[in-house]
Amino acid sequence: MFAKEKFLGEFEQFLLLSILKLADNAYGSTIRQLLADIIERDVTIGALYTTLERLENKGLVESKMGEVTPERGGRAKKYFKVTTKGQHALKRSKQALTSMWENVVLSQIEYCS
Amino acid sequence: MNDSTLTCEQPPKIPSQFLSWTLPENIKEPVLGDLSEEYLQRLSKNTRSTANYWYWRQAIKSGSQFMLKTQRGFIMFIFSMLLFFGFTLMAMLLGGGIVMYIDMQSILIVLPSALAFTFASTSIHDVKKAISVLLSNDIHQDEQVYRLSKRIFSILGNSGLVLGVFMTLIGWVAMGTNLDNLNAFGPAFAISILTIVYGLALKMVCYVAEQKLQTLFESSSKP
Repeated sequence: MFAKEKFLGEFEQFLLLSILKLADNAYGSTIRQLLADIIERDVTIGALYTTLERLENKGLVESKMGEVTPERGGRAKKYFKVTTKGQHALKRSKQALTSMWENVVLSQIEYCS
Repeated sequence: MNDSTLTCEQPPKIPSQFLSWTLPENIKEPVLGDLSEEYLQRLSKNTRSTANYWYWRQAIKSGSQFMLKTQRGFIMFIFSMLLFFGFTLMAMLLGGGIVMYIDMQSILIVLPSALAFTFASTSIHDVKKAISVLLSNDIHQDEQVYRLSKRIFSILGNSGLVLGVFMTLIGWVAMGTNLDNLNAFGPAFAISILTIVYGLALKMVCYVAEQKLQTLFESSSKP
């Protein structure tokens, strides 16, 4: 029997993992910087919030408004947290990928320097 | 630059305003805050022009991503106006040229007078407010504001049309008293009709504005 639940997309997984890595300090700016540092992907803040909103609508993340700081021009931060459902979805996607990689042998690829 | 100087720094105003205009209400504050925070970080490490370039790029890319979602009504309004004026211009060109459709006296009789009637019926402040409501696409206004804004465009359109007809009739009276000069009849008739054309054009624009305000009002009253 096939599971009807869809697997997470690549960017969705990156976002959920970033939030988990950042723990209590996961908000737009820190998530963006983490993605740039680790996977070298320069994501626009608009694209980031669009995906976060989608994940929130799916119940995979939850958000709460935080403190106001002067360097933010008096604007509040929006902190994100991965829900239990989000962690379950991540685990499921990881297991699926691991299963797919089992017994896969890649041919030797030579890279030109 | 030290930290106290940096916190006084603000990102460029124009891209910030563009973002405020395009971003959905629920993410406006965190997005602008995040960008502001990162802008200051970049300013402490790079030159001002590099930080500004980064901010402009983020604002244009993110803003244009949300613009079609949040400002669809405004974009469609501008698009319909451009289409209307584009087709009108094309019809004029196919009809023999634009020059014969332009008469400064007729424009000055219709447009400023219609505006003056509107100011007299309401106030300059109300007219400014009506234009800002129309362009802002804001559905969080009071019912009274929508009603007044709609009435302002109704007065402007109707005044323009009535003035156009009125001035045409005056022109016909003048032509009727000089029927002995038949060579001048044709050009005089064409000019006299132009005030109706300008009045109708103004009425058309105001009609679309009224309908857009009605749609905004209906969207705002939805639970």
